[in-house]
Amino acid sequence: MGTTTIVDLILQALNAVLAEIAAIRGQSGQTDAAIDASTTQLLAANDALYAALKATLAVPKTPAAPATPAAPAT
Amino acid sequence: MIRKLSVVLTLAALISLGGCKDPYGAAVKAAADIGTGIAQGMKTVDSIRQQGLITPAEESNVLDYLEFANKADEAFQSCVDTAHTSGSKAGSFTACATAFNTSLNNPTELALLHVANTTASQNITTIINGITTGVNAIIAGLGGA
Repeated sequence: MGTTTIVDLILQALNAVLAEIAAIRGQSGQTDAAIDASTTQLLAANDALYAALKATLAVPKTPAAPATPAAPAT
Repeated sequence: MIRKLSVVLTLAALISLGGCKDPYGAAVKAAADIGTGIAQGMKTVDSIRQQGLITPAEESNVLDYLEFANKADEAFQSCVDTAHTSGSKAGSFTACATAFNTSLNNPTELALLHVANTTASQNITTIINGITTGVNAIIAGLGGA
């Protein structure tokens, strides 16, 4: 008693894996249609995230050179 | 952390595809898993750039690939929805997943993934492997459905 054996360690690892699987299955408890709908939102959010991150990387545009003034009419 | 994410994504895809009595459900779950991986990938790449490991131009290119993958995931989801509403004909879901896989392997898009820093390159490779492994798991799990 009080000594951690190799069996205890294996059981702990197994329980951790089972807990992770249970969590994933819990997330999958929704209906297929509900998952489909939330996926649409997720992918749209990814599009928005992409646009936001790209905006932070945008190099300011160099101002266009001023137009050459037209020669005065003579 | 990224490796763990890839493992979890692959695990989720494999679990959701088990037996594949419900190809529509399996496909939409896989699309969700991959979408989650893409979101995490975008955030990770931005973090790598903030650490100075890649340049803004390199981040921009990798983001372009991840957005390309996201669009491919959207196309996959749309294809799956059509297959579902069309009566889940044999091979229709697998055709969607195969088209998704082909898109991800587009040489022009893959060329965007090159970055100079070795460590950053390994991280980005891990992200991309997580996505492509998930798509391959869909194809295998569907078993031709």
